Amino acid sequence: MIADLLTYSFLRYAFVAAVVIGFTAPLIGSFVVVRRMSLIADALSHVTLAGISFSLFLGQYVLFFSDLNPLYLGTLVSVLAALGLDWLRNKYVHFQELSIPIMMSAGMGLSAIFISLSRGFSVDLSTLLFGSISAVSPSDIGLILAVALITVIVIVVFYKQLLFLSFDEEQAKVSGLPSTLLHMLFMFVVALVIAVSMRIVGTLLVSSLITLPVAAALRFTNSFKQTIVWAIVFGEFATIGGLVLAYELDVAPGGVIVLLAVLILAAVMLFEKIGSLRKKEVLHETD
Amino acid sequence: MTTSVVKLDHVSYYYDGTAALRDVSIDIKQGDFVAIVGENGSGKSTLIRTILGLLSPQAGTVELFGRPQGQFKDKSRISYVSQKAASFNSGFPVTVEEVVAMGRYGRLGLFKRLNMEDKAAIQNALETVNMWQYRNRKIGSLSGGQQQRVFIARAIVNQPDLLILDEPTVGVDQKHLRDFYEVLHLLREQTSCTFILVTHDLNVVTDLVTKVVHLDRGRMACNCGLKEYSELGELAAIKPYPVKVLVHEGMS
Ligand SMILES: Nc1ncnc2c1ncn2[C@@H]1O[C@H](COP(=O)(O)OP(=O)(O)O)[C@@H](O)[C@H]1O
Ligand SMILES: [Mg+2]
Repeated sequence: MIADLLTYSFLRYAFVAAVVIGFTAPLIGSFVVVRRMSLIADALSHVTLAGISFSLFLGQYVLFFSDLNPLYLGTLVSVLAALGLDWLRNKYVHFQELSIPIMMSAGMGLSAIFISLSRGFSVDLSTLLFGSISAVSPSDIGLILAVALITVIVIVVFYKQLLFLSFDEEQAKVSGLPSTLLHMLFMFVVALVIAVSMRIVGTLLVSSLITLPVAAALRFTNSFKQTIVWAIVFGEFATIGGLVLAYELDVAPGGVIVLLAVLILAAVMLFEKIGSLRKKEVLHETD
Repeated sequence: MTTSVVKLDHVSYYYDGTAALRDVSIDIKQGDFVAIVGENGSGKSTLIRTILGLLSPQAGTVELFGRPQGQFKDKSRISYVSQKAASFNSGFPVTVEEVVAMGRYGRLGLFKRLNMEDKAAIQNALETVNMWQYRNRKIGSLSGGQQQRVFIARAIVNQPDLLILDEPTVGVDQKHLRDFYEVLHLLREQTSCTFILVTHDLNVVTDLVTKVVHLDRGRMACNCGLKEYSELGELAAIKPYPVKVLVHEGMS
């Protein structure tokens, strides 16, 4: 594969995208998971798909859109949806989770319509749903790098505030943090990351990349910094490993990446089990 | 005359049209130790949340340190231990030290990292509540009483001028209850902080309390000294909470 990496530029693009997303998704994902917003990732990825398919559909009629990277419109729609999601949550104060299926159905419904309307016009459904190695274009890389940069800046600058807000929203408000503004900034970044991640893992698997590495890290970490570091380690392992395997096996990268993430989680749980058995043994011996 | 730390003037608060506070006026001076008592649902937490600015009253005004609530910006002077402190997500991956550090975040600017002074304050606060040795433990792995002490450490790490505690001992077992009141006594001796404590048990704080506010269905039924409160007899409109003989004859 290394020789191929040097030969084929599309492989290099996919590789860069995987490395950057393997870092960015678990980084923002750590906050998404502890804020119990895992499902929001799913809703936003489906809406992103609607944006992308709408852009592809428009591309048939409007020259501007046929030259435009469809991910741009997808990203825009994802950001708008993230803000709309908050509005919906406030409409259903007592059933806030309803906002997710509402958003998701709307996204999927629109996607279905636009995809079928643009059938035969360079829409590869499998690429959209499960990602593709050959689908990453230079302009995608630009967008992915820009989003990664924004994410890192926001987290470096607002790390303390975001952690406080995630752990204890009420206290954060009392101590004078502008919680609404921070929350909107956070949702904005989440929407960006989800939109660009789907290039490599596809709509259906984006939320796994955001949540699974964090889920594994959560099993054994005590501090939030540790959680972030381990989630990124797992994320990189899954994306790079998954990409290599997907290339060798010639299957959609999203599937392999996510399965690797599931395997990591399983391995962590196994180690945990072994660890607790050992502890018991030690206890017995000292009895 | 000492300055007012908290001043409520004819405050009423309604949840969707249902009154939770009706025409409450209180003036809390510097150094006061105010106990707020009353049955469940009488509006104690609502009163606290109004003082903190988490709720804006539909009628009346709230002043903090002589400024209208909305204009009071120096939030690090006020600390709050909420009633629900123990109901945070116990799987949350933060250490005891990280939790207490949050108490310093309000005054830290963007980019700034915790400096030596912050770290010393964190250690000091954790030592006060006897939790320094647990600093690297995950907060969710501690008992309810220990968690509560960590939240108190977070509340005192800024050396606030006003400390507000909403039923801080709910969910704390008997054994640790004494530790908690010891910390309260210690703070009282060591600082000139003003206290507002929502409680169901006046007896354990009789030597601290300077003022009792008794809420009855959102109305202030009593706002008086502890001695007067204990002498409210059968004739009072409310049933006062029992207070043992006190009058500062040296508690144990
Ligand atoms: N978020 C809320 N929405 C509607 N009603 C509320 C809310 N919080 C409290 N209440 C009502 O307001 C009254 C006062 O509640 P609260 O201040 O929590 O009382 P306490 O702290 O004394 O138990 C109660 O009747 C309660 O049911
Ligand atoms: Mg209450």
